[in-house]
Amino acid sequence: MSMRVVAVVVSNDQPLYLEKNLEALEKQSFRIERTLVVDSSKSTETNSILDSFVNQSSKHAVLAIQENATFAELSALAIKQALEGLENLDEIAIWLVHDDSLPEVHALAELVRALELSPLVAIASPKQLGFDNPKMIVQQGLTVTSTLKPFSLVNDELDQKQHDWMSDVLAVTSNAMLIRANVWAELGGFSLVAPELAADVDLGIRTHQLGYRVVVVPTARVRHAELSLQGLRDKKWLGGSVKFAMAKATNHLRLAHFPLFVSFLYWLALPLLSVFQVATLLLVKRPDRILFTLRANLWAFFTVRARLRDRHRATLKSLRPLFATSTQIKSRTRLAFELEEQKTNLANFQEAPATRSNVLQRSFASSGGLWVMLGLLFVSFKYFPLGQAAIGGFALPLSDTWLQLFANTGASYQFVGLGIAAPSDPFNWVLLFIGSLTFFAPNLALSAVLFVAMPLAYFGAWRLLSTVTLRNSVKIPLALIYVFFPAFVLSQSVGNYPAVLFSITLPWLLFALARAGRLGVTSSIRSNAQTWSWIAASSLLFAVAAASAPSALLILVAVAVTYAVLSRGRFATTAFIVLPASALLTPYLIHQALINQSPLGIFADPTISYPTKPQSVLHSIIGNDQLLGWAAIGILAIAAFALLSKAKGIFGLGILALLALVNLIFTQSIAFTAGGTGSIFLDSTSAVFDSPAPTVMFLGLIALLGIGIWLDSLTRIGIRRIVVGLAVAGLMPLAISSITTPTVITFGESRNLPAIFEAESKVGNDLRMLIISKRGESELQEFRAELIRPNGLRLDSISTAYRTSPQNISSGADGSVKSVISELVGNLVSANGKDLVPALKEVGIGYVLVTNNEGNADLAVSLNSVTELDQVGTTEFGQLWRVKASESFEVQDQQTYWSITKSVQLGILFGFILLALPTSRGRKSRRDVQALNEDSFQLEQEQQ
Amino acid sequence: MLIRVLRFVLVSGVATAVIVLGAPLSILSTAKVESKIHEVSAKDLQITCTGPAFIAGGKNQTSVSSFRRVGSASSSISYSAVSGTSLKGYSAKPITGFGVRQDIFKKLSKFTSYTVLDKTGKSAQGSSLLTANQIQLANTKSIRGLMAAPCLRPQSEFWLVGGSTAIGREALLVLTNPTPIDSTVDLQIFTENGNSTSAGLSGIAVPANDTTVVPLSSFVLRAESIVVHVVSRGGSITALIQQKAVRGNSASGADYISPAPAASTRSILPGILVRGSKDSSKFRAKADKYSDVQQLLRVFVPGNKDATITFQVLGTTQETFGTVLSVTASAGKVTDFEIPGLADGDYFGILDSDVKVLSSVRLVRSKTIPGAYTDFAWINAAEAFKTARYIAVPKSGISKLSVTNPADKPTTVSIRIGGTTVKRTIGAGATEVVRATPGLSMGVIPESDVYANLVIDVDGRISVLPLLDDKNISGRVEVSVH
Repeated sequence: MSMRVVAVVVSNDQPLYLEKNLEALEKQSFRIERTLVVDSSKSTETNSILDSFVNQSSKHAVLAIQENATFAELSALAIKQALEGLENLDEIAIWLVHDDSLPEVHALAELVRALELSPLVAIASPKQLGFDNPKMIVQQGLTVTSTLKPFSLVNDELDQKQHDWMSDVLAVTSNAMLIRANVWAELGGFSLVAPELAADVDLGIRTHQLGYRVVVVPTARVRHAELSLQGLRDKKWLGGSVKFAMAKATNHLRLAHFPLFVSFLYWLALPLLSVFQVATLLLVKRPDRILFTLRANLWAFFTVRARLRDRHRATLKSLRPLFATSTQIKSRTRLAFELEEQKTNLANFQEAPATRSNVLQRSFASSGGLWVMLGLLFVSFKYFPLGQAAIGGFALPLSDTWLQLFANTGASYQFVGLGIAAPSDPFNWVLLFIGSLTFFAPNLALSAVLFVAMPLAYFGAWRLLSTVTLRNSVKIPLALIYVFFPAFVLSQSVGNYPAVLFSITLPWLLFALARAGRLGVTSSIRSNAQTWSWIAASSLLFAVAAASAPSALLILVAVAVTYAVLSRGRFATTAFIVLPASALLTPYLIHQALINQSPLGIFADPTISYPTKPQSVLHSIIGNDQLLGWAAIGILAIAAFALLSKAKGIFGLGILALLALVNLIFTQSIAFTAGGTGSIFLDSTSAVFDSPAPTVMFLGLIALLGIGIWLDSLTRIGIRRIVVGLAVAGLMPLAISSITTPTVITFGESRNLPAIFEAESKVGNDLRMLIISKRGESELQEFRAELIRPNGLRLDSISTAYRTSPQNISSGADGSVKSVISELVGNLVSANGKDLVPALKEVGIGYVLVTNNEGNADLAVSLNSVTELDQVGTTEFGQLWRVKASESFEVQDQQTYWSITKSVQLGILFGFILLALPTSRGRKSRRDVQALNEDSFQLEQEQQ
Repeated sequence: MLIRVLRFVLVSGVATAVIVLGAPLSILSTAKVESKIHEVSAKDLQITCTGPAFIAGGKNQTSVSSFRRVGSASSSISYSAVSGTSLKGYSAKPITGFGVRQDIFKKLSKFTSYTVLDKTGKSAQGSSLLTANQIQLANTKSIRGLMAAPCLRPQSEFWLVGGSTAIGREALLVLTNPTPIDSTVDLQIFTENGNSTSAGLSGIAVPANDTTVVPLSSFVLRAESIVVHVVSRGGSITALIQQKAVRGNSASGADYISPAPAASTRSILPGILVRGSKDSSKFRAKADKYSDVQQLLRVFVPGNKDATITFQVLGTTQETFGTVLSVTASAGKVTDFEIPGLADGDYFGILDSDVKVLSSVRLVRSKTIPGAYTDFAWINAAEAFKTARYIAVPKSGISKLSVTNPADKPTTVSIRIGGTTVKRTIGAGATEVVRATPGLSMGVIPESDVYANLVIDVDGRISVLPLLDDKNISGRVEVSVH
């Protein structure tokens, strides 16, 4: 039986391709009985071509469709029109051709032969070749994986006839597909509810279920531009981006073809699956897929009724032999990965022509780095955590339990002092991370931070310097100078955790940025996954730096802008890098600026309001040891001479250094509100100031980078030796200064309030403690009072927002709790015999403590006379009284562990941590395989 | 190259200028913490006189575990008698105030507290409301000398700078608890050898409404120089050191050492009224047991940094010439410096130190014939004051008020004696000595900071009283809550 063929061309705004397509149809060696072009073009450019086409023959016809219609609708309409008037459908085949394809002369003849040879073959498809490069096979048959993901059997492979043995497949692309007219009628055409990219597979499955075969005919060759898959057509054509269309297709196939119960479970699990998919995509460094995956899942979840309409009674069990095998999937994945690596290497080469990846570089360990770190640990012997926690200076212990630390992090209500609905300090997230390292005793890890600070900072500085020089003789002394810089040593000695953590983080941040931006003299980036890892690492380090030192916010902004410029305008990546920092800081900054109406408060560094004075720039740099600290000035002077060198980037670093100096003056000029929790023990009654350490450490690091670049560029060894010698000469006094700097902190118990008070809070009693101290000169009757809640004097419960809030600043309106406390203090200190129980009960005060500060002796005398109090005794924190009636007080702070803001922040951080986790390049993990198969139709397009 | 030189000059020039000249600008600040002001009524003002002197108990008066009082002390009270108040403690019924200052006296056989009852709690407290002191001229075999001490407001912390437990010297710490709450006292005793680590310094019980006498020799035996830090828990207490000297077999000299003000880098010690200096020299030349009959400066340096001290002893008139000591005192130790060469006359002392110190002066007075005696008094550094302060003047003996103006500008003080007010101008860095009228309290109303002590001479024996201003917290109280 000889077949008659009716060709249907689906055209959509591609006049150039269409013209060639129609010419190719005309040249087919097999006679086409009738050709119908269904055109849904919006432009009029195709009109002349179609007019000419119609005029060529009476067998030609055009069906113009003005409305928006899907491919399935267009093809259904056109085929119906094309078959009109034709009889004996059993002898007729429909050749459905896309306008962006170019069939070779014998293509149709080969396809027809396949149908004629076997009456069971219902659909025959040609080998799809590259439009511009017909030596490449772009597609040859479709199938699905065992989880019903669409899978292209051949994809972008050089045609060496290696797939010419293929015959039966699960499905084929609709382009150049020859289908028997009677089967088409039986099937009812493409599914009208299936997404575009699922329709082909769905048609193939249904064809098989009717007992027919679907085959590819390798001898039939059609060049195909795949404009839809290339994303070169209007997005409406696929109902969105290619990736989105692919994700929708997968979901549709699962809901329509899984067994009903499994489909139902899949639909129910879609929200949870979305979370899992996002986590997986982050882990395999494909954040670009997250958005469309989520959209596709949402689409599937809310259009489930339409998906169910495509369900059929038959099962897929019999079709499993046609599914993609694991070998095929692995092979495809490996191929895709190698392709990606090639592209990344090419990008590295193109984008960073100055890199010297071929220069042999000694690793950190082989350059003696580990020994230096060990030496630095010895130098830091003073900070060996001999106790549970470091106390003194800025240092406060963390909450004793991880759960309490977690509750205090990202909280929207602060159970501190009088209480305040405000975001907790972003720095708490850093503390949570550190505390989680030893979750069974959070203080342990925090105490160890001071001990390991120098080695970690050295390691970071060494890695950063390795981006500007390969010479160990330069890197080692410069990295050592960084860790011995007076600002760092001083921060360590006073337990200034934020400044210490900033100083550790800073070189790592700049190093990660250099890696993410492929900057520097070496680059180890070999895949997009690695790039994403470094970008995520930069993001997290940026967040740590910003949360630790808001005083350096302006500098960090400058760093971000510099990164964007140096990395060839990757502003989107830069925005991505600052995303975690924005997520952590934005609620806090908004509260400070708008609710507290304290815009300058955003520059206040976290932790307790330690009594400090503003420092001049010179003093900030040289630190406390005036003599030895001058070595730091010497290092800056050497850096200034680097400006005379020809090396690139020096001037930019000079500008950044000037910016740091300006920032130093700016932040030291802000007198921040004193007070807040715990400050009563420090007697910080007047304004307090930011530590200059973060800005000075930035200045120092920039200077060292400048020196590194200069020394690396020097061709005269003599000059280099002299400068290195000078640097080492500067290193010596700095090192001596670091060893001789006295420490303010001590290691001991994590308790920093009277034991009886803490013990009561541990058994669930939330009674508060009122701490009173005299302030000012003895002649004046001025007192400070602080309300301390259980667990209230911990580093993670200190709130900078509270410090600048009206709760802390205002004197309190009459009748307010603050006013009640204020009056209570007045009556307590005067011991005038007034009934104090109502006030004590209202505030929930169980204990009264008078600090050991000078001038408080009279206070103790007064409190001894207050009948409502029982003297407990003298503690290391002062004299303590218990409120006799406190047993009847009912006080309970209902602390919650979650808030919406916290969930969002945690989600973002978790995502970035997943993204930052390095994954092995060599091992082709299952996750890699799955992710890379998400849209295996067009792996190359994903690289965009 | 030119561009590189230019950018070097530009960047390094600006950086150098910023580093050298860059200083914070005091123009930006976040909000300051506001305080709330409350008018609070005060606790009734109570002061406690320690009562008669103690001597060791037992048959031979050698027991160190029991002490008994000897004789009686005479207390002098100055009560403003403000309307609406009454004085409790003087008699069985409170004395009601009618607005006329009362100078009253009472013999004491035990410790006694005087309390001004103020129902409104609004009366301004201080020495203008109530002040009192006690004197006792002891003249027994065991103790001889004039002993005077202010009646003190019970407190929880005291520094006592003076005393000795050397051979023939007895220092008794007299702790009085006038409150209904038992008190526990911890001591720190510093000597010329530093801090004492003897057992028993902590947890000394002072029962409610009782007195505990602690012989300091049980902690620091044969210490020439003593400073005691007293800290109480529980009920508030008063603390004094009762110091006596026994030379050979006869007692010769006694006094109370009253609490000193806080350590300071500048201390003013008015009232160094030297008499019988030649006789004192004779005593010193006579035997070793009189070796301490000499004016003396005692210094205690808290902390861990040695003090470099200049002590100027200045005469109050052109005829008296003082002396200057430039000395160094070891940190954590008590150091005595003799003040030699002071002829009879009125002096005052100005001590300057580079670190905060506690200081006092031992003043001696002697007579060789007839009725030879020698006595001493411990003079504490005085408190500065610029508001009115009153002091009750004993009925017996000769009392002189020594008022010092250490400033570099003259100042005027009004001195009220009974109903009379006299004005005196005190030159810059000068002292005015005013003789008091026995039994009439004196009020000193200065225009700027002055320092004053009252020197009492009863039959040639001497003692010195400070002008205190005891008050409880009241009135305008400023509170900032965090």
